[in-house]
Amino acid sequence: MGRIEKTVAMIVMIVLLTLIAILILQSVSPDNTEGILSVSVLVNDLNEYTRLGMDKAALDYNLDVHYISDFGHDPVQQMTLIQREITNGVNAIVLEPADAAYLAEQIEQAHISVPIITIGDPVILSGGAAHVSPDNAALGRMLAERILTDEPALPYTILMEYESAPHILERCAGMTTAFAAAGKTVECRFVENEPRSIAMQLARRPQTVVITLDETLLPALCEGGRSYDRLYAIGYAGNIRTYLESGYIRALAVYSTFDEGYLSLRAAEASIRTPAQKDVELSALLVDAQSMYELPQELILFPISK
Amino acid sequence: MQEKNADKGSRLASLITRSGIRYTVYVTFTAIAVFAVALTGIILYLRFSTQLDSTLLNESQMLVEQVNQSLSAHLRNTIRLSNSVTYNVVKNQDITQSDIASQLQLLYNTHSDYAESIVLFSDTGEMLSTAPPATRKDGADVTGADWFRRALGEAENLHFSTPHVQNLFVDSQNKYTWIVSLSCAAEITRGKSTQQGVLLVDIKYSSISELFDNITLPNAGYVYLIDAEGNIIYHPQHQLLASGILTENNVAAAQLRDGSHTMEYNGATQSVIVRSVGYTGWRIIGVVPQRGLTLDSQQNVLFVIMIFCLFFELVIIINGYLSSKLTDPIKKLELSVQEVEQGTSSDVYVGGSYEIEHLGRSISRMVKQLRKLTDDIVEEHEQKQKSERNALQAQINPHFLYNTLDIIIWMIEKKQPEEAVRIVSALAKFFRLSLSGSKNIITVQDELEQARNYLLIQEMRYKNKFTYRIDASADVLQLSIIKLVVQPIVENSIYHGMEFMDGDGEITISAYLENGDLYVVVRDNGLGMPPETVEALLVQPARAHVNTKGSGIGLWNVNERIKLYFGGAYGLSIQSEPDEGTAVTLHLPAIPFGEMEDK
Amino acid sequence: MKKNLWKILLPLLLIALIAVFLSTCDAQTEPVDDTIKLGVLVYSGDDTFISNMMTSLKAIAAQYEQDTGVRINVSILDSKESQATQNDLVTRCLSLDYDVLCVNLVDRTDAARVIDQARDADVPVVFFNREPVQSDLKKWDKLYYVGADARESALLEASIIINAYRKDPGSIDMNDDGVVQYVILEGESRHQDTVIRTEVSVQTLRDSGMKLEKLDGGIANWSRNQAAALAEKYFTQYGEQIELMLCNNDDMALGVADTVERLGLDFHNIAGIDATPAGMAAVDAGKMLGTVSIGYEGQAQAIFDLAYALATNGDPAEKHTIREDRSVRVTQYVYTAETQK
Repeated sequence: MGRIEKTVAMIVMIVLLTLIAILILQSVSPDNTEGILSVSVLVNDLNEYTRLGMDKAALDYNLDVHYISDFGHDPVQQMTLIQREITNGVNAIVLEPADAAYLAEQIEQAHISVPIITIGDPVILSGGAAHVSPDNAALGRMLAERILTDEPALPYTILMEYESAPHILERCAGMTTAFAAAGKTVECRFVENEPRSIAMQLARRPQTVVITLDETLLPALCEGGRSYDRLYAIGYAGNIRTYLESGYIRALAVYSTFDEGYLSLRAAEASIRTPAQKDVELSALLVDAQSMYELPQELILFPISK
Repeated sequence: MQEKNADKGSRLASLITRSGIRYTVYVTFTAIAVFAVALTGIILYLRFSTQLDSTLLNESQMLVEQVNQSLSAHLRNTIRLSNSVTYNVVKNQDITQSDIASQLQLLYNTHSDYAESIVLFSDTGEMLSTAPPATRKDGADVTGADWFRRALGEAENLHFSTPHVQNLFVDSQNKYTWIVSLSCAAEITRGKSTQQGVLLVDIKYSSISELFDNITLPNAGYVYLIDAEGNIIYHPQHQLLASGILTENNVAAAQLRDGSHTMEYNGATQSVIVRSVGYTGWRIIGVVPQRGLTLDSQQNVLFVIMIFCLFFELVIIINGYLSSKLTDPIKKLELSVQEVEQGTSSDVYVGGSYEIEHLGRSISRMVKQLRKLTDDIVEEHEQKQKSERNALQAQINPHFLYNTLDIIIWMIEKKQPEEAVRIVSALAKFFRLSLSGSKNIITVQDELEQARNYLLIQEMRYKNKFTYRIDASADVLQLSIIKLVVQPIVENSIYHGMEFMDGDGEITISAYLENGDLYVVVRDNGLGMPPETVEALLVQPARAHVNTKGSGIGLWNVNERIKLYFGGAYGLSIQSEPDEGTAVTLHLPAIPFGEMEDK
Repeated sequence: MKKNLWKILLPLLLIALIAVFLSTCDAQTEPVDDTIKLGVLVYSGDDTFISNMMTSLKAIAAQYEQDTGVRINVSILDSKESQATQNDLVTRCLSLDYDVLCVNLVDRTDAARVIDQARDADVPVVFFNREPVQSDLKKWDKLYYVGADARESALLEASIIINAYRKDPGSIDMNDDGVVQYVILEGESRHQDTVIRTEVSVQTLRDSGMKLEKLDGGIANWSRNQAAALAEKYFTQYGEQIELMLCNNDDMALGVADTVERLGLDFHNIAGIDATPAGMAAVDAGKMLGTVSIGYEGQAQAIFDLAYALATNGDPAEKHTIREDRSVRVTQYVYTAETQK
């Protein structure tokens, strides 16, 4: 019987030592995932609400976030910054690509092991990069349907900047498809982001429904001094509040930029532990002067920061 | 049923027997130790975890109550501010005469850490005074606003709104502030007339959220604030709730009364603590998720397993040592007993605890005793063998045979065939009896017959030097007697006593019962023996003194055999007087023939 | 055989026991990190002056990193005008192992928690723009302050008026009665700059021989909106009597300019301090008389140099003079339409 008992003792001893080894390794290992994780955010024009969302996520998930927003839409510079952040040991990267295709190629070549989360335009990587964004085509479609209800008769003009980003083009596609389905044609005009350029483009078209696809052109449109009394747009920024309120902007298709920030960091944190997270779709909704101060639109347009 | 239990009991018993003492002890020790600790651990854990749960719940309730106190105090402050304005500034002061604005400004400055603005409106929505200075938005709807209508509608109460974005005043920097509007009716004096107006105190939402921001409840619990209908006023994840990414059970919570409740939500059990805030109808809801085991991380599970393995290992080793110390002596004892049984050793192990030592010593003693008894038996057996051999040898003593055959030849030569026949028959009978080897016990009758045959032959041989007579009472004839006990005595008598008698020799054998015992006496009137000789006869003769003339079985032999068969009380005794004669008495028990074991 | 087994098992068991005790202690993960982490806590993300300074600071840090290759992380955090929030932010920065903190206090009388926490964690603090009281600065030798000398700012602001007056008295004394009627708009009542700027600017004007008459004054809390509202009140009340609007800062001056524009008045005698881009634009457009450049770029540079020296255990006094009151004062200059020519 002595042999059996010795065997049992040996087996238990081996199990015990293995467990001890595992525990020691875990507590000593440098990438102890129970410590503070660091994330770098490379977004050139970081929306203040997106920043709010990111700050909240940083608190909730105990992240050390480094914001970099001074590379001026230069994809080469952005790539250099990505490399730099990685050499300094960041655990994940959230970025809005200045040039999605270029960055995809560069990141692929550099065999980057750190998880990448994107907002704005997606970056296609073999290892997968979770993308947090609204359904851009749906945004376009939603607005198109509202326009069709409001002004079925008038001609429609979409104003876009030269060299618009892919997600802007997606919104345009969504709109044009919806319009086409209803039998309406729409013309797309390219403008500079400047009141005079816009005014020139629309000078000969007094009774048009004017549509913009993101919030960059809106201030110029609104402050131009002209009255384009049928203005519809996608995307919200603080400086158009009065115009939306007064009804100058008839309707706005928006998504929660706070959520964009929060969920992108949440996805970054999750992807550090389990890579290859799924894309996150942000919900989209329509607001106008009547509904902007009702919940939940009020919270989406004016995230609580204080 | 009882049979089954008995069966089980015996099965268990046989299992224990088969497993050996060390294994049983060891397994039992280990099993009991592990079981005891596990049981203790589980009981303690359950007890402490219920205590911990109730402590946590109490703690949570206290925290919620604390938050309630701070919130109530804060709301009371705001109410006090509103009242100060309404009663000390607005009421009974002619607005056209007094400088309401600077008084409002003073009050605003004092309370500007939570007051966003203080505004006085007329019942038509005209903005009469505001602190701090601000420009009204062109499109701002006052009379249609909820806070305005409720204030005028219920003039006796103050009204708190739900949080919303400040929308009355121009902000040229595109900033926004979340506020909670506190509105009430105020009596405005204009000249000689009075009218109802509305005082609006906009409270910074941050002053309320500050109270909740750092409150955490155990188990990653949290606190949130709802109004009477269940609309959320404050929630740590307010934004995510708005966009539908998270959900909260606020509508159900609004139905609950004050106190603690247990609810199921999204598949998890929660303790929900509800406290009502005074005046406003708001409720503070504390949510504490209930977790079963707190082994939530892989590291904790590994740790517990590791502790268990460590303990188990210790138990195994210690138990092994202890049970060995206890049972090794028993094992050694058992081994040495085995060896003794097999005959490879004669020493018994003595050691271990005092009981085992005692056992060892007792066994050792018993073994010695056994050995001695065995030796005795062996010796007795050898004796018997020897006597039988002697008897056998005697029975075929050549001298006796030669002499007797000589006599027969002489008889035949002397032409005395009847005498020859007589001797031959006697010899035949003699040998028949003495050579019937297997039987040791015969009847007295047969033994006396043997002696008669012997005497007959010897009488002839010794040419009638003596006469003989055999007297046996009838009641002794069927008693048991060892064979070849009388003949050697007679032989002895003849050789020692009759040599020098000239026809006067007389040998008498008598057998009788006395005191229930059998006595056979052989008497002769021969030379007799001195006491030394008597003594010498009863001594085991050395080999050199074997009587070659006769049968060779000495008197000692007879005595020994009687003693061996019947015990020390019986035996042979000799009385002898020199020149008078000798009487040898055989004292035997009276056992009827057939009743005794023939060994 | 039993004895040998014992010899093997016993030491193994001892190792096991030791390891169990070790594992119950928390192993501190030492991050191998040589980046310099700078935490900047601004009192409000809405203050344009501060925002501009922050942009400057980040640019300086980025440039330094490019030039020297030393990695610097600058995190700008908004205290949302709540000292309690700022205290919490300090706690968070310390827990994230920041090397040095730059703090723009919300409440200058309530610096205690910030200082205590920083001292406990041995993290130096550079206060800026909102000065803590001297007794607080003296609590620890790793506390510094970078800011403008408020007296000097006020002096310079007054000099704008004085120069304009000297050049053309009529432009200031519009009704030619030899007295300048003015309205003053002041900043936060708690702020040390408010008191100093108000007093010194007025006193300097008086000292120059100008005769002054104060029509009115109000507290606009550095806010453009409030200043606009107050200005409206004053213009409505005093109308053309107002000859000069003296403002403690540019935001308030801009608020006055907003009202002037809204009411369609022709009034340009507005003076401010800060030289924010909007303020400078207003001066360029002729809406304001002038402003004082507190040189937020200079201030940002001073903050950065000081913070960097403290974070790397260098000498803080290396690049800037540190006064006895542990402060670094930034040079200022006037910004008017003239000085830009």
